[in-house]
Amino acid sequence: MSHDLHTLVGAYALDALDHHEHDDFEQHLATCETCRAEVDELVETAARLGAAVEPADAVPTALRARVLETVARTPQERPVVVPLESRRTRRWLAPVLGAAAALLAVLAISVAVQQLEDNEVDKITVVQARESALIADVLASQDKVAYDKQLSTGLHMTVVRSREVDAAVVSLRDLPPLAEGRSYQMWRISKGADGQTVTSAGVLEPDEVSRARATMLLPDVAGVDAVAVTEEPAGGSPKPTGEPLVQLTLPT
Amino acid sequence: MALASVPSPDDSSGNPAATDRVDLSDLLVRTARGDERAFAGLYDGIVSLVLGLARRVVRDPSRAEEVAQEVFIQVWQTAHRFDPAKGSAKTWILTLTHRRAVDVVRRDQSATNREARYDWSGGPAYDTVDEQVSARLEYEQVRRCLRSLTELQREAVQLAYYRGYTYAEVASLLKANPATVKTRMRDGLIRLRDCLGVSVA
Repeated sequence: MSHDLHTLVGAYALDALDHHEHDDFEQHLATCETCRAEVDELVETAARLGAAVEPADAVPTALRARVLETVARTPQERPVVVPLESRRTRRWLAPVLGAAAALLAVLAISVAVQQLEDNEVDKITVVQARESALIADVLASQDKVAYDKQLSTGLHMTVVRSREVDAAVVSLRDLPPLAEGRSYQMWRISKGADGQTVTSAGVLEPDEVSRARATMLLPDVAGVDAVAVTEEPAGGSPKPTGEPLVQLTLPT
Repeated sequence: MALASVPSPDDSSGNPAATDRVDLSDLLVRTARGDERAFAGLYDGIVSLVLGLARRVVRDPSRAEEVAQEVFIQVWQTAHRFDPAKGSAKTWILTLTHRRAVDVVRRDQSATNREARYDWSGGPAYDTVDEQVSARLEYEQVRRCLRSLTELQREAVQLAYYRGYTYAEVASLLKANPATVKTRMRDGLIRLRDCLGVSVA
């Protein structure tokens, strides 16, 4: 019975249970420590689906006034009082436990990645997961800065860089369609005493759904002064052969 | 990182700009102590996401606005339940928003007049830059990861999350066994979790 309930964890995180099952599941959750850990992660994952939705562009100003006015006359729920002693311990422990848990999570991910590699299963997913983890790190970093460039053609390039993570996420929108046998290639440009060095950051894989978009992770960005995109023969070139389609300078 | 000050609504122009300058979790913790100014800052920092998600799920703009209003009142009333050690304020608030939106859509509509398919092809059309950069990249990353799911996993997850269907409704829409849909939702979310690198401290 409890095993049966546990399979509802995905539907629960997606709010896809009817009221009756929802209540049953929450009761089960109250007594199941291991389920709670899984639920927390899946609820967090579901929230990422929510955060990926287009934010509302025009928020009615009347809504703000209504909310603030209602709040001003609405009492807050009172927290359950926790004895001072345990509260102090918990406060002190929380960051330490948080750091330890983060470390464990990293270890768990490497172990999972290793296992997947051992099994030779779906290597793309492994690479994707690693990249995604780095992308997530960049987006979550405290020091990230976004740079943005839009050309009159509509082509739009955004670079989010974190020095802390030493990586950047480059995203392109409204890329012009490519002729057969051509690719877009990304370049790192570093300026040195003896001029500028241009090295390939790889060929852009356009999004399957919309070929006009592409996202790329650039690791090791320390010393990169600019990024550029050129059109090249399919598969890319060792050196850029044409003028950059778009180039964005990163402040040092 | 600079501690959150209450942002003015037009505090989002300028380029380059740091994104997420406001620490929403800090504002939510202060809200729990009855700080109305912090609450206003929290509102300004997340209202476009809350309303965006409500609109995506309930479709009707005025109903979505009601959902957003109810969510913010609920945030104010129950802010003390938020535990910053367990997750971000954004997750907490979006989870409340989704639950509320799903309740409304189930009350308002019968399953038959909701669309069966969710179309990702267009993608969000963002018109301002830095404040929405995070959201756009988030979107692109989520979409990329959704592609690593099997078709049934992906359809089940999307129909449930973005349309508010129960797993039983999803099963009948996809002409699949409810028990299968239930496990595909779990497997799909687990795969998504791993691809997105989600972990909860």
